[in-house]
Parts: sequence; structure tokens; C-alpha cells
Amino acid sequence: MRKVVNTVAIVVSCLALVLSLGWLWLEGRWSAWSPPDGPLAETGYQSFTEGAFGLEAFPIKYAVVAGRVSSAAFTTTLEDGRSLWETYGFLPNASGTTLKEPACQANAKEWLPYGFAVTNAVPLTAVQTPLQFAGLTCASCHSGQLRKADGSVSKAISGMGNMELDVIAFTDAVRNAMLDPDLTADKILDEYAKVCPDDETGLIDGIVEKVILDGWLSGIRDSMGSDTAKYGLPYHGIQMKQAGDIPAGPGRTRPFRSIVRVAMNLPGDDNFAYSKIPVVFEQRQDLRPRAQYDGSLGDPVTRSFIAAYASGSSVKALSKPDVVFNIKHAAAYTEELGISIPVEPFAAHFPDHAPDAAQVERGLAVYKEQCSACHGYRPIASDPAKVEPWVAEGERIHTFEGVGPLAPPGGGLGVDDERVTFRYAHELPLAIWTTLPGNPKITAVQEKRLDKAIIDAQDAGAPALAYFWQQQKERFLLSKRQYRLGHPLYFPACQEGDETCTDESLLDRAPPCSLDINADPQTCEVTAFEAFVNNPIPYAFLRAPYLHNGSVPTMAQLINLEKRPDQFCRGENIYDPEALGYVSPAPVDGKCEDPRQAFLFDTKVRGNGNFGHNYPPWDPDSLTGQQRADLQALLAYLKTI
Amino acid sequence: MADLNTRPPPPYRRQQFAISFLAFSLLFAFSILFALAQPDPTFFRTHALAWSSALLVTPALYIFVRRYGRAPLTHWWRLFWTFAWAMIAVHLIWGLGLEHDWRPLTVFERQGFFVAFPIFLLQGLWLIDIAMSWTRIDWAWSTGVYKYWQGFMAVFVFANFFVAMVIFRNDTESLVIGLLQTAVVIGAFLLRWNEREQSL
Repeated sequence: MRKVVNTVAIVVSCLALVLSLGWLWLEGRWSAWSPPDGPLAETGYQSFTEGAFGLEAFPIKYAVVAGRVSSAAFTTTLEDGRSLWETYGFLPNASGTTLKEPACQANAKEWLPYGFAVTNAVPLTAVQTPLQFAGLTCASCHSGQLRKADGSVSKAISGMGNMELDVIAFTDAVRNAMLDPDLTADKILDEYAKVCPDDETGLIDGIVEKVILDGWLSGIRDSMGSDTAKYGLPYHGIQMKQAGDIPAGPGRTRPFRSIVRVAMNLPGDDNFAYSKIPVVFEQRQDLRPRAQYDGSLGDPVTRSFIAAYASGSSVKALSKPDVVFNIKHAAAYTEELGISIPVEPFAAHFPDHAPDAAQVERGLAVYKEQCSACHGYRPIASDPAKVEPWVAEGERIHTFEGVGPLAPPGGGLGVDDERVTFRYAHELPLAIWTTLPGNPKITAVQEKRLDKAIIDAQDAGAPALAYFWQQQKERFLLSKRQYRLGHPLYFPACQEGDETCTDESLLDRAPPCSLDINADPQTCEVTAFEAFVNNPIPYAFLRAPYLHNGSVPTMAQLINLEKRPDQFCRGENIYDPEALGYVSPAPVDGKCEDPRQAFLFDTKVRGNGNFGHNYPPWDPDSLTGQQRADLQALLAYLKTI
Repeated sequence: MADLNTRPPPPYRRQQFAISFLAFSLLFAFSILFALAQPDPTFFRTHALAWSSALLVTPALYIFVRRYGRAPLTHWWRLFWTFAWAMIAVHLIWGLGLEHDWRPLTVFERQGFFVAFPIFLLQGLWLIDIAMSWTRIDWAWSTGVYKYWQGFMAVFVFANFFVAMVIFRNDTESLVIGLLQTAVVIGAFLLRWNEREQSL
């Protein structure tokens, strides 16, 4: 008997060792990756459109059958014959071909929407497994298309915001699906087998796949289930397309609600900072030293990291070599996109609407008078199919324009300030700056700043805030142990080899920095000024709808040539090459009846204000002949930049 | 060689290997596979391997304290002592390779000499001790210098674990395992003392 027990013990031991070592070996195989070679235009584009950065949404096999097994979760009742992906505004697959075979895992890259990555990484933990996942990339949000009046649609334009993407509604649909108690690994795999009967999985692979699918499903359900205290229950059905329930709508996000949730572990409610998905052209720092509408960030890599992090990527996933490569390369791509990497100008998209050269010439003069002090300008190209390099010169370019209490006498920019005055806006910079531990020198500074925040909160008579910073410090200390050499994407407070970089200089750049809004250059790593930054506006025609919250559908309305609408319907809007923006029908009886333009944008809703940026400061209802002619010329010039 | 004790070691039983090997394998599998359900699998693996080593060395320390200088050390001691070292070696490989990019100097930079040095010293000295325990005929009945060496190694290994698990107590698991190990060692000392009292 004892012999048998001994033998069983040794066999079990050997099996456990083989299983563990075998898994480690397979993990190495699944995660094998080498950086691609080639010019930035190619490798950057690849990172931008296909490079995963930890936003794996679900397994490919689930994506194949999502419409069947999670129909209730994804249905909005406004499909109008569109696919699941189209309903939420994802761009069609880049191949543009009609599939001859069923959409299965093997041909995922031929049918997944534009800007989806295929990876082996499990969401959040980034563990590599044989199960393939579909994940969002930069291009999911930052590539768009133009719908033309003749019914045609342009190919995907890299760097343009996807103004049809209903990303928050899609997130709610995914949460609905994942929380469905009836959704099981067996159900997914059984349905998949029916759709893709030829897609054979070996016995061992099948077992491993089933185990991982089970683990993923229960993990994601636990995680989303426990997060409902912070996120609330997702909306479903028609609610997902109603502005009253999900007020962001197509082409917009609520980035600060998200970042407050992930970086500060707070609910982020009472946040009306709606933000248009921005274009990412010509992001080079000499043209654009500060990123974001409020200029809160300097470094483009940090900007990309925060975009991924706020969208739900985990700190762990963002430390993987391939993800780090993708983030850095995609950031570099956006720095050159529109400069050395060409972007098709207006005339290439709308050759029949190319503006008259004399008008453009006159428009430049108006522009220089009214706009270039803040935005710089682009010289007129001799060939309308090309653009000249942007000239980032102007009296006020790269400076901050205060709003609210920081507004200059006379009101200044005067735009909706919800974007920069939300709750926790002033705590956020330090929380973000200490999300990723740096090298030992930087972590020491990070700890000092957190300690100071605790003391400052106590001194200010805010003990709960002191408690919050203590919690943040605990998180930081754990993170510091996890990334002993520093997280690969930490804030580049000291450049390599910079001998002048000292503890003091690091502290100077660490948030909360000097409150000097006019510091030149602004060296603070993350700012929280109640202000917007003046930056260049290359490819202005691709920036519609205008203002940071997308509240002005066309350029003609933005420059006061036409009246700005109070309400309009958003979704799959046709592009108007004359007014430079979207044809946005007015609602009828307060409703947007077209299921493809069902989102009612009401500029009276908090955070949706379309006021301010009143340049030229003329009333569209009482323009003089001269003013109208000037504005028409200005519009003609704006088409060319 | 004059004081070399040539008394044969206690008899070896297959059960001793089976049980200690089972403990090692299951703890290793736990460290590697349970990590898959953790937010940071690499970090978990590094720590779980250290916890596992602490758990494996605990029976060895118990046996050592009970028998050192009074009765022959057993194969239980030698096997658990060896498997515990193997586990801490994997921990070192994991920590150094994946968390410090195979750069030992960064461990010194980050943790300081007085914390980092004993980590590496432990690996080396413990390996020498294990090599001797598998090659010397007197491993169970050590006398003379070797006996002092064995005593020193037991104290050194325990001190390292105590400092890492109880003093530094990076996480609750470490503290619990460290306190458990300390309690076992203290318990072994009490039993040893009690036996001595009774034998007088």
C-alpha cells in the first residue's frame, strides 16, 4: 500500500512539474515577439492600426458569434440593417473585400473592423495563451472616414477622429454581454462550431482553450460585477443610443470620468467633460509642445500611454515589450503624420470643391488677422494636392487661454469649461504622474510628492483627502515593487545622460507644479490649468465637428459665417465640403428619427455648450457684405490647411 | 579527516523522497499556474516562489533544531533542505531575470548593499552546504568544523527568511509564512529544551 502511495505521489509530482514547465515553455512561444523593421511610415502605421496596447475586448471566437449568443446585449433596435460593428460606428475592415468564407478565427484579420488587433494576451493580466483575442488599437478611435453626398465613403483616414464611433455605448454593450449569466464557454464554443465547422481544434488545444475561455469569462464577470459599484449598471437596448442615458454619443468620449476611475479609483460621477475624439496629425513637439485640448501633457508617448490607460488598459499590459513598442511607435507615427507621412488634403477628397486660388489668398490674409496669433498658419501650396509645412509662429501660440476664474478680462476664449473644471481635476495630475513608478531616482521624488500631498491635505483641513493620498501611496509602493527598474513607460522626467537633472529639478517638473499659467516653456509634466492651449490646427477640414466637445458641426458655423445650431442629430452624417463639416439635421419634435443619426446633440445640456471661441467676433445674423466676403474667403483658406 | 564521523546515516525510505518531492512540485505548480489568475502573474510568481521556499525549508529547520548535535540528521532534513534551495534558486532566477533584466547590480542599487548582498550570499553558501550534504559521508553525524558550518548555515538561512518575511513583510502572505516558520523553529527549540530537561 505504501509503495502505491509513494508511486502515486511521485507520478503526481512529475505531472505537476511537467505541466508547470510545459506551460512556461508555451507561454514563451505564444508571447514570442520581435520588433518589426522598416520605415516609420510602415511600422508606425502597423503599430497605430494593428498594434495591441492592452485593450483586448474579447476572444475572436466570441467575436464571431457575439451577435448570436449575446444578441440582447448588443442590440440597440437602431441597427437598420447594419452589422453589430457598424451600429457602433467601427470602420469596415481595411481589406474592403467581401468574404467568400464564413468569418472565423483563422481569417479574423479579413473581417474584424479597421483598427482591431489580434493578440494572444488575456485582458488586464496580459498572460499569453493560445486563445486569440480581438483588441482595440489607436486606429479604432483615431481613424475616420468621410461620407459623401453621392453615397460613397472615403477609405479610412489615419489620424482623423472616428466621428461615428459610439465607444461608450459599445463598452456598455460589452459589459452587458459579459455580465449575462447565461453566457458560458460551452455556449460560445458550441455556437462557434456551428458557424465555423471546418475550424478544427486539436484535443489538447481544445481543452486548453475551453479552460482559458472559462477562466477569462469568470474573471471578466467578477471584475465587471465588482466594478458596478463604481461604474453602475450598463445601459441596454435603445438606451445605449439615447443622449439622456449615454450623453457622449458618436465621436465623443468622457476621458476624465474614465481616468478618475482608473487612476484615482473614484466613481468619476458628476463629470461632464465630454471630449471629441481628437485628430492626431502633426504631433511633433516643436509644433505642439503641449498635448490635449487643455495642454495638460507634454510628451507624446505619455499622451498615448494615458489614452490607452484611460481606455481600460492595465499598467501590467502596458509594460509588455510589444505593447511598449506599439505605444512608442504609434506616438512617433502621429508626430510625423501629416509631415513626412502624407495625409491627403481637402482637394484630394473633394476635387470638385477645391477653392478658388484668389479666395484662398484673400482668406490667408483674414486668417492672419483673426487666427494665426493663436494657431500659426500654413503657407499656401502651389499644388493643391500638397501642403506646405505648418508655421508654428504667433503671438499667443502655445500659450494657455484661461477659462472660468482664469479667464482674462473680457471673457477670453469663453468656451464651455466643463472640460477643465470637473471634480478632482486638480488632484488628477499627481495621481497620473504616480501611476507608473520611475527608476529609483524618480520613485524617490514620486514618494516625496505623495507625502507632501498627504501633509498638504491635512494642513488644508481635508483629512479624507489625506486618506486618499495615503491610499494612492500604498498603490504606488506596490507598483514600485512590481516594476523594480521602473515601468517602461514612466514619465521621462530626466532624459538619459542629463547630468543637470537633480532631485530638485525633478520636483520642479512634478505636479502640482508652479501655478504660473504663462510659464514659458511650461515644463510641468502634467498640468491642471482651467484653460485651453493654443495649438496649430493642421487638416482643419478633418477636425469637424468643432470645439473640444464637438458642439459646432461645421467650420462655417465656427467662424460665425453661419449660426451655430442649438440642437442637431449625430451619427452617420454626410460631409459637407462647402461648409466644411457635417450636415447635421435638426431634430423634429425634439427627436432624431433617422436610426443612423439618432443621437440628439443638445447644446443646452451641461458640457455640450457651443459658445465661445468667438473669432471673428461677428454676429452671423447681421454680417456686413465685407464681413461675409471675408468669412467666405477665410473658409476657402481653411479648406487648404 | 581525523574527526570524520563514519557512522552510517539513518536509513533512506522512498516515502521521504515522494513526500518532499510532492511538496516541491505542488508548490512550484501553484506558483506558476495560480499566478494566471492574478493581476500581475510575473510579480506573483516571484513572490510565490519565495513563499514556497520558506514553506519547504520549515520542516528542515524543525528537524535540524530538534536533532542537531544530539541525533543524526535525517533524509527528511536533507531533502527538504535541498528542495527549499532549489525553489529559492528559481525565485532568484525569476526575480533577477524578469524583474531586474538580468542585471544584478540593479538589485544592489535598488535595495542597498546590506540587503542585496545576503541574498546572493545565501544562494552561494546554501548551495555549498547542499553539495556537502550530498557528498560527505558524515552529513547526518557532523562533527568538528563541519558541524559548526551546518549550525551556521541553519542560522543564516533562518535569519534571511526571518528578515525577508517578518521584518520586511512585503505582503500579508510573507508575514504569515514568516511567523509560521518562526513559531515552528521556536517550537522545535522548546521541545529540544524539554527533552534535555527530562533527560537530566
